[in-house]
Amino acid sequence: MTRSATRRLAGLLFYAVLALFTAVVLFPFYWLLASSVKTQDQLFTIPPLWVPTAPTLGNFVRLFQGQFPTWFQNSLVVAVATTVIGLTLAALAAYAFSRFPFRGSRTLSTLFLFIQLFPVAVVIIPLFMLWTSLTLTNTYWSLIVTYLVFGLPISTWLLIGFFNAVPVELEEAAMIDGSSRLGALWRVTLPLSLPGLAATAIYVFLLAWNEFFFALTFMNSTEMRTIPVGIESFFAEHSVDWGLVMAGSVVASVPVVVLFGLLSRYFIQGLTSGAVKG
Amino acid sequence: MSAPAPVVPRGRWVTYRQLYPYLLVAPALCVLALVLLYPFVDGVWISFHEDTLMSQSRPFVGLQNYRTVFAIPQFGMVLRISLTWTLGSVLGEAVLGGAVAVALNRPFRGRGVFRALLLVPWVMPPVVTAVIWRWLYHAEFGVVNQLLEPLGLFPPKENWLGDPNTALWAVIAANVWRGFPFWMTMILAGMQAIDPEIYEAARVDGARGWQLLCYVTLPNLRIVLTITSILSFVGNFNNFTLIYAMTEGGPVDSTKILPIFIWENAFKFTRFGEAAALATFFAVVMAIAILVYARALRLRSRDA
Repeated sequence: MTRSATRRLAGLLFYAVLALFTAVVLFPFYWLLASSVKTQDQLFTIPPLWVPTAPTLGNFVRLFQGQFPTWFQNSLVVAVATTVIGLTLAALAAYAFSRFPFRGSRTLSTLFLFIQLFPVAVVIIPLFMLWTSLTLTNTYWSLIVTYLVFGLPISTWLLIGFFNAVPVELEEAAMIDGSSRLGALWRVTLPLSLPGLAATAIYVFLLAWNEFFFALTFMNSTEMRTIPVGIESFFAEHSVDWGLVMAGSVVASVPVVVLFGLLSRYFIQGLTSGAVKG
Repeated sequence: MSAPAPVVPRGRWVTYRQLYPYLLVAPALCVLALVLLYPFVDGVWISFHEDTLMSQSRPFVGLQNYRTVFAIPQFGMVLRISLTWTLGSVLGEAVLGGAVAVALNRPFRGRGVFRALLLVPWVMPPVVTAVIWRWLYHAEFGVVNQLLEPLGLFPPKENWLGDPNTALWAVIAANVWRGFPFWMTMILAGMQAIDPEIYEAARVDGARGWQLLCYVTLPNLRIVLTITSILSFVGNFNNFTLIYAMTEGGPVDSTKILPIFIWENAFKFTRFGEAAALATFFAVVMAIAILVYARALRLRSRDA
């Protein structure tokens, strides 16, 4: 065999192995999707029904006839509010770190990174007591404010990087034209950092959308549950309604897949920026 | 070009400018103080008091809560399970993630697509991961048993999550599936940041294959590997959701890791003082582990 033929064969083999591995990794998602469109009888067969014959949306219909729409709304409100407020706070802080070499800025920005290492189990008890004493349990605010903190470190660090990439001269030009500092941030720096803002936004949104631990603890009433807590509560029933659980999980995954699909490049950039550039 | 004369009196202008960055950081800091600093201090305070939430007075009890907690027979077991869970997950994720990163660290068509697809398990809601794996592990109708039974290695209809002997390893396997993409992404980004000229130079010196990996790639990845392993260790040690949604710490406590133990004590048995003592102990151990680890790595890099 010639050398180039060997190389081509090796290349094909590489693709085959990689594709097989990827298929195995993604199979659980296929199985979730396939199971969600099966009837009760089709779920419990030996051997399993690998490709659903006559897929049905029955599980989804039942899901939305229950309390799921409320949970969906709760999750959406909390995640959107966390994203908007979190991005605002992070943008202001990141702007300060990026543009002003003020006293203590290094210590503070490093401190922000360490928050990632903060064990959540340590604060959950006192936080629960705090929200109880402020009668904020079972409110959106208890979750929004909590999620803000866990989104802030990464979003601030990401935005520092993106702001640093915008030349100061552009802001100065805007300020000579009569713009205030915050005006320059709003009209010049933010629009120029739009991809960065988008990456940061999905990061915070997904964090809030996926979170379970705090939501389980702070939301005791059934109608205040977020989607993850709601799905988990299906397991508490005497016999698990797998069709319902699968349909709920699919709905919970849709925004994640859409956002990640649109912005995966920025997401990866965000995930690695702290470790690789820093 | 002449600078425009300052309109504001000089003294005030300077003060305002000095204050400005602090004003920008202030809102974020306020939230941090409210949700992290205050609860942390309060948690330590609670750990020295008797507290059951219902009680009106909270008498100071000194180290009583700590003594009670350390005397619980489960305590040592919970620590052992936590350690197995964390180390098993970190090792599994690192090995798998590293291998995939090495495979992806060369230019080929569709690399970006594979990298994105393989990251999907990491971005999914952990509860969804738990749902999927509970279904895959289902004793009678789960895919895992359907695939394994022909091999005859395990008893038929093995209830992976319901059997105390297998539950911990079953949740670790699911967790490795969820967590390896993080390692993959970090290592891959680290490898791509290495200057190709270093490889060129090493090749000129006659280094090949494994030598390149050991003498060029790994040393250059030290910072990335340090940060990734700290984040992965802490993330896994703290991971409450996956185990809670898969087994709730059971069966017969076989998957009861520390966060679940703390949470149960507080919110199931309303022993807040004891749970706070556990949490404080947890925080101290964690801080020491991170410091020792970071120091060890820094020393080693200085020797090299």
